[in-house]
Amino acid sequence: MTVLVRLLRSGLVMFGISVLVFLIFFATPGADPAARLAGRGASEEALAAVRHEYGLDRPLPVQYATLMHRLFVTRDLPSFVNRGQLVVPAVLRAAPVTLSLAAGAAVLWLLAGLGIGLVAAAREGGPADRFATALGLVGVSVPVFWLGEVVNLLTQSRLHGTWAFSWVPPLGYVPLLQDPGGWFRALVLPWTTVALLYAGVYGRVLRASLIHAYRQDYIRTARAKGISEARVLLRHALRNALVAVVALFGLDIGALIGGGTLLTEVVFGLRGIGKLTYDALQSLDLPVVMAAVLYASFFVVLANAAVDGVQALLDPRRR
Amino acid sequence: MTRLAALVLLLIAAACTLAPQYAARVAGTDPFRSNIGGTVIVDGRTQDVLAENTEGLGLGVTPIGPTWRGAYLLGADSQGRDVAARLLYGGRTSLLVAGAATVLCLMLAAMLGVVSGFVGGLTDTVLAGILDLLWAFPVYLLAISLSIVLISQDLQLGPLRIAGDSLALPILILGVVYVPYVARPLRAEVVALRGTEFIEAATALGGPPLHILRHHILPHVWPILAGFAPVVAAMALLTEAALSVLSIGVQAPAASWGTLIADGQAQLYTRPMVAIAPGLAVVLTVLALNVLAEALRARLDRR
Repeated sequence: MTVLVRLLRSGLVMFGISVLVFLIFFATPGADPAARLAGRGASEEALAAVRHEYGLDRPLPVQYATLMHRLFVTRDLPSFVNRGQLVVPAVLRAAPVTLSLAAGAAVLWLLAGLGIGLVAAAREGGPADRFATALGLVGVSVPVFWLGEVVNLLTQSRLHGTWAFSWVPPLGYVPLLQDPGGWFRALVLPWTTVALLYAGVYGRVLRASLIHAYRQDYIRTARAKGISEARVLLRHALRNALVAVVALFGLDIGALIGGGTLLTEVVFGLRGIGKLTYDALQSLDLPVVMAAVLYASFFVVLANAAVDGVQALLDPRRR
Repeated sequence: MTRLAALVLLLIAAACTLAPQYAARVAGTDPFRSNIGGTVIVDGRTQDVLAENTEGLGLGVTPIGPTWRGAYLLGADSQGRDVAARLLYGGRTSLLVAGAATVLCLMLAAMLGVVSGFVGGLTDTVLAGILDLLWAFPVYLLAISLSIVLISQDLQLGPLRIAGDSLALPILILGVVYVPYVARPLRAEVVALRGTEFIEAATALGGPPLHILRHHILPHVWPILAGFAPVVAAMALLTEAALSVLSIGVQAPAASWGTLIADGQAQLYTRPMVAIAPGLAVVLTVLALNVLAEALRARLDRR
């Protein structure tokens, strides 16, 4: 029942987002959406083709339905800047790169956050605690693309000849199924770049909720039962503290898929959805931007629903 | 820490305000004009601002690196323009855009949050629904959609026409996308306040709604808004830089820290300072804002 409600709510949010995107691209006051979609300096024939393709001479609800049908059912929306390129297949082809980047970065920062949080909670105000605070503050203050450029500068140029970074491959992506080792080597620096920005914050959140958990009565009860300290930590305190971490993670998926990976892909030359969007922004290829935005935000909404589910598993109060 | 952060912010703001004076008196160049054939005297020796490449095919030019003197303190960019002077001008734009966007965001959020929470009923359902929807839409994707549509053509709002390269566009976009971030907690706070005994008492005494709003609700709203101000400013600064790097933020000829980072990307390996310096400026400013935000939060929590 609750799962159904959750899915319904996600569906409603996706509908709302799609309407919003449609209105932004097709009903912004000012000028002709056809000229916008066809790209800079389009010919009369191209404009006519765009109007026909999107049914722009028909009422807005019909336009909306046509667009959604072509984006999600027939998936045959063409780009007018890159003639002949179909927009949706291009987005779906790029998706594995973006997912590899996002998933690896998330695993890395969650592990690092777990480590930092555990060590920091063990001694309040100790060196690890202060390190977590500093890393968290710096992490939320550094633009990810700039950090990526600094990493590139160090590993691709200045220090590339030294033993430390001679293993770094040239910028680009290697498919996982083709060459797992190459995939890992190509992504390990982008992962680290993204993870550095989040690890400190996660460490701090985990630390705070661990300390809070240890003050609860159920921990005293667990200890009184004679359970080992390790078990108290893992089964009782950590499980509870993870609820806050999972909630934060749900919030960050949007920032990661929507912004972080986009810019990281550009800096590291990974041809994922972010790089696709970036190229489309440079050439004003609006259909590609529109498709990428919609597919990415739908993914974020669904991922958030999944995180909600995990939270319910961890925390019976939320079921 | 807090004092240091405030001092850093003040110094950065002062330096950026003095950008024209720096360009005219110290750097001695116009940072908005390219200086392709120019020369500069460093330690008595005349050097080209843009030196021709001698290696390989000899294609292209390499701009002069940091001289650590008045002129071309941090070197030149690919057009022979003074990086240090552009850094200060860029900071002016970045701080202006982020500051104005913060004010706009807080104003919109205060109106939406207070109206939604105080009026309640259908108004609340609709407004809160819109805020929830915007909240679920990833901020960068919303900003990208708005930016690409608005910069590709002028925006016509009734009699008001905003050109695609106007600074008003990034201000408007950054101001709007972070509204739910502030308005949702604000609305929750107003709803909670409305249920407290002192408001109930004031209502029972026959206090008119506007009186209750002004004397019992708003005094609790201002500190919350003040607490959000540095956070929103920090996020706006980062988002402005990101959008400008994507070429859909601040538009040429105006320069911001974001556009400077974008300009420097092509020479990252030969003249890293062009891209690294504006990035450092962003990091320093945002870090200072976040330290202030932290201190402010701790103080508001204690009350």
